[in-house]
Amino acid sequence: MFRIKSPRAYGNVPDELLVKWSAGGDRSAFDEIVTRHGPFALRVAARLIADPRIAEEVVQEAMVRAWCQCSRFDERRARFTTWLYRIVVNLCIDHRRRIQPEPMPEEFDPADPAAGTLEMMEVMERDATLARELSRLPARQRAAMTLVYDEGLSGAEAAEVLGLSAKAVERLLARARAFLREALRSRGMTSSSEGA
Amino acid sequence: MMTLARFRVLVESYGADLRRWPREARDEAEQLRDASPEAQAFLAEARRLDEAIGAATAHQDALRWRAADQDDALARLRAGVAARMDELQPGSRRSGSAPAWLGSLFRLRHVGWITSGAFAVVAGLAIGAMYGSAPAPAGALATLLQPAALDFLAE
Repeated sequence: MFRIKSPRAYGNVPDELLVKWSAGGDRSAFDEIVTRHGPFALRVAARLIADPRIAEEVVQEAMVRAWCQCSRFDERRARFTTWLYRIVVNLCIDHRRRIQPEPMPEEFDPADPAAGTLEMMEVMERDATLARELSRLPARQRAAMTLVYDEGLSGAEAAEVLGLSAKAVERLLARARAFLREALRSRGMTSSSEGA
Repeated sequence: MMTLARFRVLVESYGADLRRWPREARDEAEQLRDASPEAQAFLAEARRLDEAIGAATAHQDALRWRAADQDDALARLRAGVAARMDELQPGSRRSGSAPAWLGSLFRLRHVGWITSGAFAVVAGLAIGAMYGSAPAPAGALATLLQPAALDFLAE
């Protein structure tokens, strides 16, 4: 007698169960993980690695590593997202350290002829300067900024992802902000759009 | 009660948006903000830098990512990961009865190396058959290496 195996529903399943299924060889479960967490991974990688094509490759490698290591995931030791994000961020940091310094894209030109006013040009120049300086930040500082400022992780969550203490993340953020503030100051710019 | 020094440390780390601050520090930070002009000045300065960083990040993102690009990137990621899983997972549909490494061995980019290697093996066997079919006379190698054996080059 045939038994029809009902297909698993993945949409509302918690991450931790998807990982267990993935460890058992359920590829659809892992595809659900990639679908859920791929956007985060791609955004973070794109901010840490200048070339989007390489950022995608690094994320793909991170996901494949996660797939291979699913059976090692222990939910008593870490939340799944922390575990996965740590793989992604560490690979991005490793890549960035190998490649530093990364130039900004050539089309990164603040001079937009349509902008018109001098004030607009000054703001755009400031944004471009700061964007360049952001890409020059040391890898861990940039990673901390991305996780806390852009992705909304708490300092404690970012610390878990980076494998650091919360105090260490605070120091990374403070150094990054001081670096950016000084970069603007040294170019005669201020962080205020109306105060330049 | 939070000190102004601690408040400043947190401003310089997390910026002006108190929602980013550690949860356990927020209540005291709000009280200090409401009571202290210095705390308000720290926040105002930090807010300007926050806005500049936000604008710069948006500027970067606009160059690197567009909404449609993100959807495409996710689709590429899913396809890429699935393809890599095919190679890695024993017994997957693609690998079938053959081991996964066999599939990767016959990828197009390896065909040149495989052809060259096969040709080298065949050539080696042929040369071996020519010189190995009869026992070589004593000193044959030495004879071949004598200048007389290379006379044809001088012709």
